[in-house]
Amino acid sequence: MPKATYRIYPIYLGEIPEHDKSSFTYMVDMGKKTTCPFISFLLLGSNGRKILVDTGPCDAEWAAEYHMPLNIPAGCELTAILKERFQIAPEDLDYLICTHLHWDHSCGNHKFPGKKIYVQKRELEYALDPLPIHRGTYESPQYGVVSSWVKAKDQLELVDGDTEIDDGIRLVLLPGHSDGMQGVLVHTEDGEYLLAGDCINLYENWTGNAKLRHIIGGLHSDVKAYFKTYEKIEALERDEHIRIIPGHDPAVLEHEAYPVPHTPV
Amino acid sequence: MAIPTYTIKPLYLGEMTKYEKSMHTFTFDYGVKMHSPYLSFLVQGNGLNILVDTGPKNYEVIKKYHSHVEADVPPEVHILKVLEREGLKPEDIDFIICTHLHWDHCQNNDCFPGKKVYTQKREVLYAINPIELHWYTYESPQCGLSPVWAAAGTKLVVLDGDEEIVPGIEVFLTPGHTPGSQCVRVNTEDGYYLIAGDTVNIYENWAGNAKYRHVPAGIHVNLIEYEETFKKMDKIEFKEILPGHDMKVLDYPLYPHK
Repeated sequence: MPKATYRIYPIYLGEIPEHDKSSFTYMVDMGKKTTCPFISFLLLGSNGRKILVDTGPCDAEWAAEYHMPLNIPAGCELTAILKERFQIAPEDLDYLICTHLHWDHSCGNHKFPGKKIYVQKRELEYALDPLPIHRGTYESPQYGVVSSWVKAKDQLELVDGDTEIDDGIRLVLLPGHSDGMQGVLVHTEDGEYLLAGDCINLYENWTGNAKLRHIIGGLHSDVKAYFKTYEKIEALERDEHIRIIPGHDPAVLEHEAYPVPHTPV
Repeated sequence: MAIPTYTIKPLYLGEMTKYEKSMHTFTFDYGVKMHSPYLSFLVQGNGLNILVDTGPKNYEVIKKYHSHVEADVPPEVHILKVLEREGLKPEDIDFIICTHLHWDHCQNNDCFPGKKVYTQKREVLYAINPIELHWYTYESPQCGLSPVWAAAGTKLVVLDGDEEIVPGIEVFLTPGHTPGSQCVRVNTEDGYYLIAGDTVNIYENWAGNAKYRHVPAGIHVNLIEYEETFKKMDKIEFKEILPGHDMKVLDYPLYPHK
């Protein structure tokens, strides 16, 4: 059993104001618009560890030119939030974990010079030569820009599959949304939490609907692999009673930290 | 000896009346609705009558098992009625090629008892055990249905990759939309025509747009395989492509058109 326990702090970094809901929920709610918040997670351990999961999007100007219009309210810059809300400077972090290399999860990687960034080997391989429809999402070399994750490429610490990287911190490979997507299993006082990245965009992806047990994300490379991954998460639910935190659900931001303290009766 | 030539007659077998366009063109035109036909293709030449896909059964079946689809499939456009108007009875059909085994492409296979149905091994293997998302699309046993492609009396011929079926008629394995989708290349007086099945739902999938040279279908199993398929198709020689669900295919009653 891990000795260290962690608290998980979601950090809001702005949003896509007009996002087609079916990009979250494949073949469900096409044409319906929703908001897509960008969320990083700070993990603070009982052992003193300070770990950052994902580093959020580029700035609004870059996004408007290469992706889509964003709404990034004043004060939503990641390093500023770490400093003001948590009194943590970039050099205070122990290391970073990137769930995947899509621009909205990795554009701040270079703001943490010298810090290890854990990424799956498969994710890096795919990011260097993605399908044409994913070139923009990765800001890949074929897209004609130098992506932010490339600026911090020397910091990438590649892992190959499921790996325990620290006391109470496990990386799990969850291919589907992206080829080398990884979730982070975090040991807390309330059991294991899975930061699912965009493997599970919204709680709804996991709770499903009348017809489907789960709804995979609308952005993906391999639908069959995605379903296999959901079977893997089902096994984690069964064996370890994990709790899931999705990658883009506004409801995640309703709590300041996880586990949510129990309300006294 | 010269390779025989054929003509291709697209057969209208009803339509989806409010089809979500992004299901045809992945990530494009979310929320846009369109008319989209169910099609078969009657390929004739060299003394043969060949049917590519057999289309949907009837509106009752669609409503019962595929209730999300708003469709118009009146009895008069059932495949047997349409063939009758062409002066053909089921026994006149020499064989059938199924581009893939989604219900709307094979639901009338049982109308042609004893006739060979050419399909791909990978498609058959997937169709008997698809992921949950595709159970109904295949009418697979997991959702309590019996797929028509496996009905008694049908005679499946299972292919493993690219193959010539008869001189002038070849199939090419093109995974992506489904694991074992195949395109049918037909030799005509005007060169090769490619019946694309749902690998290319509408002309726009193949023509591409400002961002992409080809656009995959919104319904797909593996986009990485799909891109390999597009690369493969780029190298296949053909003069015109005939998509699986585009109304514009019906602009001409016969291909090649003058």
